[in-house]
Amino acid sequence: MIKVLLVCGGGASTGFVAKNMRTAATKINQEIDIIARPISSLEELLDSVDVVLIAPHFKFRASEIEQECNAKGKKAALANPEAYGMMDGDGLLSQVLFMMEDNNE
Amino acid sequence: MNKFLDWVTINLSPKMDKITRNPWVSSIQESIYAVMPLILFGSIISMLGAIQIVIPAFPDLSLLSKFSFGLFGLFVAFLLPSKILEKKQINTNRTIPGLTSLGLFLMLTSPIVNEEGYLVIEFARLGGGGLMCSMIAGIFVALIWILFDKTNLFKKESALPDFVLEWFKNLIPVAIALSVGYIFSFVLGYDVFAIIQGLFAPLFNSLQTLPGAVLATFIVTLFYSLGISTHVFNAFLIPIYIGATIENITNASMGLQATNLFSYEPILAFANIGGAGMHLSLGLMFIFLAKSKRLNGIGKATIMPLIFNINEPLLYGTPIVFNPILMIPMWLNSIVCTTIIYFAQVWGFVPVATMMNLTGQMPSFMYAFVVYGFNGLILSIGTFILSGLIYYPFFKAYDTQLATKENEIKQ
Repeated sequence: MIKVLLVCGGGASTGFVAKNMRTAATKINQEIDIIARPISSLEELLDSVDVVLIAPHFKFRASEIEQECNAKGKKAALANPEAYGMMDGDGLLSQVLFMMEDNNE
Repeated sequence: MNKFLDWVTINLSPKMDKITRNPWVSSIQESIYAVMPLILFGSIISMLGAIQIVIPAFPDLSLLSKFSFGLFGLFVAFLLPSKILEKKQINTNRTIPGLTSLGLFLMLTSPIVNEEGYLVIEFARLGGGGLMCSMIAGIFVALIWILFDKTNLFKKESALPDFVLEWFKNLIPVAIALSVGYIFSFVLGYDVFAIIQGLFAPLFNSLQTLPGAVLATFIVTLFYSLGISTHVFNAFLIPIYIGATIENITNASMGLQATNLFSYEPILAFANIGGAGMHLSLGLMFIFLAKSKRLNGIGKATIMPLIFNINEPLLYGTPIVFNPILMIPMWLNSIVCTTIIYFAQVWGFVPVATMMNLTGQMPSFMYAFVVYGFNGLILSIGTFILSGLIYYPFFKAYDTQLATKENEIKQ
């Protein structure tokens, strides 16, 4: 089961987005666990997740977060801004699945 | 307009990057936001406190706020050093610096021994009013650990066993940090807390002026329209605005006038309807007035978060970020609404708020009513409508652009 962490400032906007991603996952019967949390919780949650998606308005922290995640062998990326903007659960889910696919090579 | 965007990306962006990526800045931001659940709890208690005015028999729950929101400074004192050390990647026990910072912060609040021989700490100094002092204590403690980490006092080949080395590695910074506090607070007898407050007073006061407040909200909106979360600046505005509200509440409780016109309460009630930039009216226009399928779709997709003043999806979906046509009215709205906040209070249409309420996700009309009563509700509806009027011409221009393109593609 893939475990995804969505981070933004307070976990508010990501909360809505996470809900849509869960719906998208149910549609395709994808086992996935998605949580949306404030960025201040990243350090304590990183061990228990596989992938981190960074909300677009935290782009300025993206490279630092990616470094921190990669150091622990976790995948991280900036959430696709268009998909995030449309709260496109399918689109963001695809992004996550694509990221995890790289893992399996 | 494109020249402006070019200037922004070439000149301003790198400078903005330096500030926003700065580990000290993000440490402060994360430490403050980490305490939010307790602050929101305090806000809820404050709101319940307003019920007492209507139903006098309602119990006084203010103590619940005292031990949540009222300990804001104390909490940040503990959290800040470990956040800084984490981001500076200093390999050290994170709890010890935090505890040391707690001790130092308490020292700096200038406790005194009273007649009965008790060491007394002024409780009011532990809350939001103590944030500047606690941040300075936290930064100072982190600095000591950082400097000590660089000096490498003991060689690896030292004859001393590991646990003794570890002991010293922590003991010496603790001793330095607390001794400095000891000397200033007790030997020299300075009220460091008050000194720090005095140092920041000019900044606090300037944000209580109309130009200062307008500049502050404009900068937040400007950077937000350039893709940088409002959290970055809010982290620094929080101590200032909370300090202002606390001062208002204290003055009011002593029968004095509350004079701070700018804090989160008026901003959240009147200048945050649909998030920073007043986007609820724009979102509704997308749904009901847009001729382009794109805007119509985005409005429908993002209206739910907008009602709760979350506009990130709208900002990135439209997009509004880096989109000149929609950035300009966003800035105008921040300037206009902040100005309205000023005059509405000066002219007495709404009182100066004496409630501490940071529940920014509460729909604004409800929030305005809870904090300001009926006049507040009217004013928030007023700024909402005004924001729509400001957005309309720009919305129309952008919508027409998009609709034309959509029709061209059809053909």
